[in-house]
Amino acid sequence: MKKKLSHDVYIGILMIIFSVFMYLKTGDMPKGAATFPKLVLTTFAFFGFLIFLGGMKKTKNFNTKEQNINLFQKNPMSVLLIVVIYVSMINLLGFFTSTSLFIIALMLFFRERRIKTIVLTLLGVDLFIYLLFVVQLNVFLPRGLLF
Amino acid sequence: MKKVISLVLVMCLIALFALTGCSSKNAETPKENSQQPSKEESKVEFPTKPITVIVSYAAGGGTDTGARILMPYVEKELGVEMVIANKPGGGGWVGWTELLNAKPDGYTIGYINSPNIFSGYLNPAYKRDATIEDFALIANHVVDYGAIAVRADDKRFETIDDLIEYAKNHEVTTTSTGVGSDDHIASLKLNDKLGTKFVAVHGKGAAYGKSGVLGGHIDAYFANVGEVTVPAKNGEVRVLAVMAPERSKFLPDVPTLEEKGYGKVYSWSARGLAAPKGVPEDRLNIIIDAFEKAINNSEQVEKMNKMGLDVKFMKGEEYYKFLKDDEAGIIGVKDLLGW
Amino acid sequence: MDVFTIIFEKILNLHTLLALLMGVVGGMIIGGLPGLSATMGVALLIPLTFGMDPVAGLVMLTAIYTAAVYGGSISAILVHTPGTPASAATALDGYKLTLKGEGMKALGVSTVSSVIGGFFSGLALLVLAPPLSLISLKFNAPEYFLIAIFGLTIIGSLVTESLIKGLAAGVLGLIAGLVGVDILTGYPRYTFGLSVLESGISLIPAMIGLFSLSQALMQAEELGSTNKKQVINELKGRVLPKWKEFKSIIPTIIRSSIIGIFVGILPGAGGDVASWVSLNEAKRFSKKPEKFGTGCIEGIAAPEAANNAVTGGALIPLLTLGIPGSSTTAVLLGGLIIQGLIPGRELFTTYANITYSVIIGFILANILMGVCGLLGARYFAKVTKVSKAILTPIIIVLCVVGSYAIRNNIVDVYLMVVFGVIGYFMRKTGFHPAPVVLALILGPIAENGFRQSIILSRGNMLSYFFSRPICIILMILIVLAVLSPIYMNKFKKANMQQD
Repeated sequence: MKKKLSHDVYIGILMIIFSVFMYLKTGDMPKGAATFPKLVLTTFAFFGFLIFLGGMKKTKNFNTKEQNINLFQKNPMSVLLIVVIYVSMINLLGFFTSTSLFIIALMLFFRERRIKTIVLTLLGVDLFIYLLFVVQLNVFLPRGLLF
Repeated sequence: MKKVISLVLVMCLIALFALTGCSSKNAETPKENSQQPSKEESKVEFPTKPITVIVSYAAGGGTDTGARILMPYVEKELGVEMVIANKPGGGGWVGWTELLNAKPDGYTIGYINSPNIFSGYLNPAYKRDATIEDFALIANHVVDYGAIAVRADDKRFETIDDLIEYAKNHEVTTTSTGVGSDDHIASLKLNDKLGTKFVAVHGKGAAYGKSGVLGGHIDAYFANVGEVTVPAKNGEVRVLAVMAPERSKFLPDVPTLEEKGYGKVYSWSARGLAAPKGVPEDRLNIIIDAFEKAINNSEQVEKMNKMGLDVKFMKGEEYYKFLKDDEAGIIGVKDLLGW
Repeated sequence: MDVFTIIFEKILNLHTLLALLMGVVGGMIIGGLPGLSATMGVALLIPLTFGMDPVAGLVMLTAIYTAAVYGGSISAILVHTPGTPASAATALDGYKLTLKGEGMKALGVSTVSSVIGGFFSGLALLVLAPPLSLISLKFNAPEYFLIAIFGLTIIGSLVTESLIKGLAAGVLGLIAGLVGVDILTGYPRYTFGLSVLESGISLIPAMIGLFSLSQALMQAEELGSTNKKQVINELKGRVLPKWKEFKSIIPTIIRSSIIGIFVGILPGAGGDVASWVSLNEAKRFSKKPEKFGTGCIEGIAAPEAANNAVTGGALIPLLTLGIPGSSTTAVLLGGLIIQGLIPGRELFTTYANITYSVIIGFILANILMGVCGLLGARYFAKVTKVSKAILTPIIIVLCVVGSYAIRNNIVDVYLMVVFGVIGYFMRKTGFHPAPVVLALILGPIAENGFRQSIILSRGNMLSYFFSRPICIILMILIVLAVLSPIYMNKFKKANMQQD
């Protein structure tokens, strides 16, 4: 099997691509506004290149410690997915509905099986946010279909 | 009396804080009895529920403070709560876009600030298609005319004539709160009409300009009457001229540019209220009437004057023309702005 | 004597004392929640003070200001969730101490340092306000540019693993700082047609994402392996630091308080800048700089003393010149004017009774904040005992609502999540998220300062910079900041050889 490349190689390449993409955007900018972005992006690409080189070196020397790092572990990625779903539902379902669903989902995911705890947490958070943000600070939380 | 009311408020707040503190831990089941107000009644009855007022700037800013002073008086007229929603960002256009997208039922209105609203769509870089025509104007609340000041111990410029003469041959740096701000446009108008060489040093927020002038880093303070009155009284700045059709009642000794013979160079920052186009006429009229009474309320006027702001009620054609004049002024210096 | 009795009468009445207590407690709650910064707390409660007696109202607002800055550190220490931008620097060492089971000690050090910092700044405000305010006028674009550069040199000492990755993270922060309308040309940079982005990437959602959401994701990793309770549960020990420990941090606290007061006085910089700068200075003066970032009490004392010292410092130019020294005081200006108190000389002559009462109330607020903090520390610390299954969802929800509440805008919530993902992967791959936050704060100051200087200098940049004494001092400081790590390394090596 081929040796696994160090993740720094990919990061370096990603940084360079990102810099190039952002650099192209400076074309539309007026002269004064473009100078600093160009400088910053060139530096970023340069660092990307250095990290790429460092990654190649690491790959050669085969650093076992780093090889074991799994960037996309199942659990954090699942939590992230739940968060993304939650955040994208806010405008649709309203803040309180989606927050309640989110708390239930995440607590179940964290292997909390006691229904009483889940319900109490959920009501506590909702009430706290309602009283502090909505009543006290007049923050307009998004309303959705239900609330 | 005041004390009693605020004391009650304070107590309530503490109770609330205590309550919120406990509830986060113990999480008692609350009995929610949020009864929605009965559904819409016949259409003549307006308003029947709270009206949202979008303020496109952050809480605590000038527009916000002005709104919070005015709204209690509007509440008295309309009999419903006026709820202020701060939607800052995009030089005001985040809030204005939201206002335009709101349901035109009269329950969402908002503050519009000129000339900011114009520079937001006249500058082609922003690619916006909404214009002032998309708003249903309600009334103007405040007009704050432009003023030119220098540091009190600046010996070079005793009068406005000194400043303009000097600026014709030398670069003079001026304060500005951003490209297309009223301060910036005023300096461009002068450059255009008088051949002066004012160069704006754009800075974020009013604090940068003021400290720049007081510290002697920037030559001329291009600001508004509301901003220079107090520093002038404190002896920190000398106001050379106001850019208004007539002298300001806050600065009766300061000449206008016009009376000094520099032509009709006016500059102002104004804020008023508008709704999205499409609000039923009878509802809009109810709102306009309420604002007319509230804005002309002498107690309200006094409070605004205390802040150094001049209240000027305008509605209908008069207000529309006022805003169109402002827009035309900016279009006139479009080339200088490079738009 | 007469003045004193009036002032004491104004403060020592039920009404004012209640307002004071409410400001302190409310401020601590607001500060402790992610996203609810001191600025927001003050802005949202100003309407409440409309009807209040001026002294009571203003004492409440200033109390909220200083208590919120302190409260932000509690959550930074205990759950790696800085409640305000000014407490991001505290999270580095504070959370490490909590992980070691010394959360109580961390809270104690933070409380003591905050109180001392705030107290000193209150004294400076009381005694030295007029002369100190003149300093703020000496600073303008060139000085701000250099201060920002000076602050950016901190990145070099902030990172422990890889210098290149640390600097790259800093540059990423600079890139994030590019987003928004360029103030000098009015051109919207990298806004991708979104109006919300025209005012730039909000610091708070970015910071919450990088620090707390990424932290929540890290926590999820441990989920499968061991399901038993974490070691953090050990929370014993005293809150107040031991005398020996206290003695060791006194120099740091005093140095940081002075830095905080000065940064506070400057209109262009606030608690966020001050906390980083003083952390860096503490590290530089320390005999064991390598201990920073692993959970050392100086790493808490420095930013904590500084960010609370900023509060009093920022009030100085506000009261004397009407020029706010920080974003929170910009909002406070509105609160003053509503009460008919126009900043300027009159505040110290005609309205001296009110002004000095407010200042003394502010000093009292700092002390009361310490009392509340020390009494409450035992209870705050219980947060770390709550099981992750309950705590993680709550923290994420608070991150969401906090990001939203800043501008009532859902886009800020999306940004928070994006930065959370970036932060998570950065931490997994050996980058540090702290330089991103630092550069996001300082990048725009540096760029605008430089370009404003070009205009101000009328084409003669070099001679303009060298004609300004403060600029020369700052340039020397920058050179020292860049060179000192190299020098220190050599020194250390030489020392080791001797051993």
